[in-house]
Amino acid sequence: MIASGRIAAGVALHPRGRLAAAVLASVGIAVTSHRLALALLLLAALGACACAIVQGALAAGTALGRVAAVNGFVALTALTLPFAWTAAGPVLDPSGVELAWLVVLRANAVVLACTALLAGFDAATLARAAAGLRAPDKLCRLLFLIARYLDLLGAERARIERAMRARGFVPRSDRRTVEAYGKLVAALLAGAVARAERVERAMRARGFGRAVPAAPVREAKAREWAWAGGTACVLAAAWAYAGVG
Amino acid sequence: MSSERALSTTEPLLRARDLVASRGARRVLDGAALELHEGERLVVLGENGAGKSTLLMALLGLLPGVAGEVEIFGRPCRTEADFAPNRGPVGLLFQDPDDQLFCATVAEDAAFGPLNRGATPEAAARAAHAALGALGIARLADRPPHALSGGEKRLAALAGVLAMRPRVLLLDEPTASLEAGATTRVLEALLGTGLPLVVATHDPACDAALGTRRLRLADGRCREA
Amino acid sequence: MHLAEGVLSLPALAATASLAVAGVAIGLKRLEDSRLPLAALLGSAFLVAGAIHVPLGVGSVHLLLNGLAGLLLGWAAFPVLLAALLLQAALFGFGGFAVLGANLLIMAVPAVLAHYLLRGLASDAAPWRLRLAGALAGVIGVGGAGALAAVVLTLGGGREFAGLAALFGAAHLPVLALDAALGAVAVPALARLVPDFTRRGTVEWAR
Ligand SMILES: Nc1ncnc2c1ncn2[C@@H]1O[C@H](COP(=O)(O)OP(=O)(O)O)[C@@H](O)[C@H]1O
Ligand SMILES: [Mg+2]
Repeated sequence: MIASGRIAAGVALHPRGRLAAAVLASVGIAVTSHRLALALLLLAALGACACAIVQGALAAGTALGRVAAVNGFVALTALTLPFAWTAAGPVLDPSGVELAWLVVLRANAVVLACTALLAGFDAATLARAAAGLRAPDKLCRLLFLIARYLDLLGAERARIERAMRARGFVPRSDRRTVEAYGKLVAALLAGAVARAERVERAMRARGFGRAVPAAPVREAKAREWAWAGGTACVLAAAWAYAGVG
Repeated sequence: MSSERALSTTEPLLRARDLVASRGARRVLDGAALELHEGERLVVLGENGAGKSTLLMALLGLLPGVAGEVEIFGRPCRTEADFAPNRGPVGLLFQDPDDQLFCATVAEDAAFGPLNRGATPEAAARAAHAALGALGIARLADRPPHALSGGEKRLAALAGVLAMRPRVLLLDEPTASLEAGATTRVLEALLGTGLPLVVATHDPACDAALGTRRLRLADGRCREA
Repeated sequence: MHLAEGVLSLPALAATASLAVAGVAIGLKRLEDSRLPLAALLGSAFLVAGAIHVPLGVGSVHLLLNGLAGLLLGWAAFPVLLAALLLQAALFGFGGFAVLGANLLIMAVPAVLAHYLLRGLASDAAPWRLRLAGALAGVIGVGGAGALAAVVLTLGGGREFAGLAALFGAAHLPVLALDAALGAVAVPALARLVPDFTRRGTVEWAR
């Protein structure tokens, strides 16, 4: 589940440049309220995804799955926004229709852009990228540790669930299932507490902080900033073109 | 110990053929096969990483993407729905008891299986305590599992399996990482059940005490040993 | 309970992001170095537990558990949930980065609230009080998140969003029921698995 966000090929190049670009793209798209500009940005993001897929950095199924997931919420939005609720029932509201268009375009453009820019990221890469962007030190160490133990606890959950199934457990919509999963959650948390105590002890044995090295922050290379620069250019181009047209 | 194969004119309790299973990128089982008959205690020997755990889990349909034929009590099992009713009648003791013991107390954990099979809480508690009693660990009933010793954990996990009144046991290294005294207690408990079983092990003591027949798992296949 | 990118106006994005930054700053300041591993491990555990799906009708519901997380984490819920949301955004494409602040507020404010409202109840060893605390953690966590999402949507999106806010809230009633029922089992079980859990298993109680 967790590990499925990972793609094999060595694509995790320039993580901080790409994370910065993804943040920039998100913000840029979110503040754009021009339909034509958004349509252009959506096309650009689609193109970026296609590139990533062709280069083997991104699985087409992954991209499709993400777009589908986002559009559940978007569909809800697009269906409710265009109507204003009056005493006489729902009436079509032009400003709502316009908003619905914006939401559909923005949400899809952002998910496609981020999917393309962050293709091949895993938890550790994200932590490294955040450290590279000089996020607060404690937050970075937190991210590193969470990333470090995510797969481990995921595997623990899978093993416990398998042992539960071996004794006839079948998840259903019933009290029994809630009880079993409640205990599973408690077991995961208890395991986490026990491991945290061991980790803390091990950290203490080696002096605080040393066991959780925040990644050394290198000076950014021009190539890394090219990701953010390129993204900024695409945003500017879309805005300019839409402003002219 | 008799090393003769128990003669049986009836269907085998378990039969697996042509099992193929991969873990990660590695093909772990590659045409493995075994049969277990009434009255038998089959030992599956194999190095660390040979695929013993994989084989036992595949026999109960617990791993995704396993190819091959499995028959349990004469019935072919292909889908989750085929396997599900057999989890219980075929009891699996996992290699790591910590995977199995996830409830707050030993008794609660032993009641988990019976409750899954629709027992009332009272009946499940009775089954749990009976299983604990039969293994001589009734005194552990209210203890939290993480505070048990290795041998106690193994017996507590076994109680969770026995509480479901299995007809066959699958045991994954039941004596691994136990000292001699605990090993003896676990082996006596297993013999005491009188149940036919498949035991994956590389512990000579376990092999000698339990086995009526031996297979060696290597290169993904089982051979008579 | 993720708002998708694109529904909030620029002022709303800016306001929620600033509040979220403030929350994270408080959380990080109060988080002692010695409690960092515990906060992180709990974060991993909640991320893993959040992926559990319980079948419901033709579909399934997944757990939110932000109330329970808040009960154990206190203010550290802000940085821990931020890390979790970042991971989900980067690995699964949930939400974007501009709306991250809003999504963090929606999850973390009820979490911190649950901590302060329930820590007294959960410090007591009586099983019924632990059960109640677990159930209320689900109610406060999911109910608070739903209410906050509705507020953020109507204030930050516009009056057109009233219908969506109502629907969004209604869609989370099953999650609320599930989180509450599950919390009622999980908290007493945790208290038995981790003796002295208010000291060993929580980030802030020990202070
Ligand atoms: N979850 C897993 N992911 C990837 N590989 C695994 C996993 N579990 C086991 N393996 C690999 O599968 C092989 C067989 O494992 P296993 O069945 O546990 O062997 P045994 O029980 O005989 O020691 C080993 O090489 C092991 O490394
Ligand atoms: Mg094994």
